[in-house]
Amino acid sequence: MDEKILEIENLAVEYRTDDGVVKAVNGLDLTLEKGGTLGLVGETGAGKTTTALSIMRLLPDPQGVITSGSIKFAGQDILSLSKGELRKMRGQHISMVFQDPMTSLNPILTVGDQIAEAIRLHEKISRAEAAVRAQSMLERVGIPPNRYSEYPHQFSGGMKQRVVIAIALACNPQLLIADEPTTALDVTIQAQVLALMNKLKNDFETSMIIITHDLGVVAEMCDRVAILYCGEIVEYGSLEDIFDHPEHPYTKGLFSSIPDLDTRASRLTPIPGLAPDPSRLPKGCKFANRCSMKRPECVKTDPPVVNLDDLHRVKCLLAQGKDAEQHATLG
Amino acid sequence: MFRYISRRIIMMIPVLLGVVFVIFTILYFSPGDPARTILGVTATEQEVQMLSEELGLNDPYGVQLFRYLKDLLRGDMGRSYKNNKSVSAEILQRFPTTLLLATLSILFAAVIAIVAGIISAIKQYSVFDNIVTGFSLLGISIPNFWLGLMLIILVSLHWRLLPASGFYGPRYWILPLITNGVGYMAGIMRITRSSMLEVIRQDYIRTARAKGQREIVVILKHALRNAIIPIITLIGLQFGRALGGAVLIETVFAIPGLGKYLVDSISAKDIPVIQGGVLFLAFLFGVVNLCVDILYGFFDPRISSQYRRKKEKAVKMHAKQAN
Repeated sequence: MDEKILEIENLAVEYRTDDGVVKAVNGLDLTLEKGGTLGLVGETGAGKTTTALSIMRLLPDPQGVITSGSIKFAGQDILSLSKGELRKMRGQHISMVFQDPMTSLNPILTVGDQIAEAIRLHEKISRAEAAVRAQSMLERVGIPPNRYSEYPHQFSGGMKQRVVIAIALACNPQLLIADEPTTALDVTIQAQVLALMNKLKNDFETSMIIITHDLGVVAEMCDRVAILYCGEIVEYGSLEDIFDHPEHPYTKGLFSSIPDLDTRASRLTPIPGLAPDPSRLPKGCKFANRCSMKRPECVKTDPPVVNLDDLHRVKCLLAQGKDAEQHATLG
Repeated sequence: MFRYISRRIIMMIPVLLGVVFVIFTILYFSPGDPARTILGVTATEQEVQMLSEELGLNDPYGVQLFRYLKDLLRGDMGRSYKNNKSVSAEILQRFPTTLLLATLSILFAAVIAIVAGIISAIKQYSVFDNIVTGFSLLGISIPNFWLGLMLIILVSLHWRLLPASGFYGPRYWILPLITNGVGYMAGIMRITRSSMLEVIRQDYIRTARAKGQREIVVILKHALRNAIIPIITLIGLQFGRALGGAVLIETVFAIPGLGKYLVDSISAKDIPVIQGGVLFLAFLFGVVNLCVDILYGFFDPRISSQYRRKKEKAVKMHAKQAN
């Protein structure tokens, strides 16, 4: 577990548009151990997908720019790879499952060809062998192999997502990034797809990053969780840390805004307000304007990251001193 | 697919019949006496009457229409009022020239325009893109007869590089081809650029890149094939129009093509030529549209699978009945 497959340090990404510079990711630090599963949680626009696309180096060109930081995959700096090296990496070492299965497959190519294409790009095998491999991939994701030469429009949404997963796993990647793999699917299919991903992850020993805003998915799949807000990780920890001892007001807010089976609340408690405009981020804590525990100093200084223990860390002024307390009690 | 094509060919028959009916009726009821037109103002009333009788122009409308259709089935489109030559022979004699000019112009335009349109879409807002967009604006705005005249003045008269008129060999083709092609090129460029711009933003393009596919393959295999439907639609329309003959260009370069023949027949009120010509154009348009539809099925499986599915259904129905 100790070997690090992915290390992101101080990553910052901007989108340069005609309307101004959108700071999508601001100083993000993240590590993922080999074989681990990390959940990236946050609301729309928090920078989850941008982070994933940065790892794949698939940010929209020329608008998306990585302005600082480093991304290391298995010790190798991804940001300094040449185009050819990147192509080798994509699909073979790092794969991605995209958000919307309805639009992620090319409508004019058969699903089998699309899987075989991924295989043939990274392995020197014949067309026929690739077809056989693609058929066995279809089978693994639970699609009858005789549907190899059908087109995406002949598949349902859940089956399309299975095909996308088959493409992503075709070359046995070390890291799979799943960008909201279940958001576009209905609930029964969601469970199937998640179970499938868990099974394949074990079969292939793949490390995984799951991007979601569904805490249920996180609970089911992940052993590490990072809560993103405005392109920053506001809280990071093990599944237990985040679910049982959330420290950041935003994390707490997320949990109180989902229904609980035990306490029958007539109203949920939403987090008031909207996330700030990413092209005009405030100076202090970016969550301050929505925070129920805001203090005057929150808007003045950017809160530091506080390490609560080896794993659990929070970016909040309120947590400051807690580490000291804990150390004191521990010591 | 074969069923589809044969059905489309059969469907052309009522369309052509409709065209015959409409054009015949309009010309029948249009003012003016064809016999008088043929004989000129100096002929006596008696001579005009005799010719009308001879040509069957005094028969009732229905009889004339029926006779025209009957002749048409034999491939006979009648004879020109002006010079008594067979209309079908005249059309067939001129058609190869028009076909050659149309095919060359469209090929010339399409090859350059599609390549330029793709590059311009990939490199949106680059210098190249601005040049392409500027060129297509110019190409659409410039009247082609003016461009033709300018080319003749510059290339033929001033530089003495290429012949200014006639259509006898490759050297003669170049100027009409450019003149004719620039307008088409501008249109194809615009549609290629916008269609490609839309497609390259699609998720499946990102999927292809995420597989580690080379950029050129992503563009040609994944993007272009998805963007091509509007492009072939436009090229089909342009080609159909070009087959009707480019009147202005034929006039400027003195090319013996269909367009000029037809326009001359209209001003001379040469009814058999007008009828035959319009019918021939309708037929060509039908054929071109058919080809375009077949190409749709070839490029987009969502279109061709509709017919396959129908066929499968029919097979299943059949099997049921057999049981």
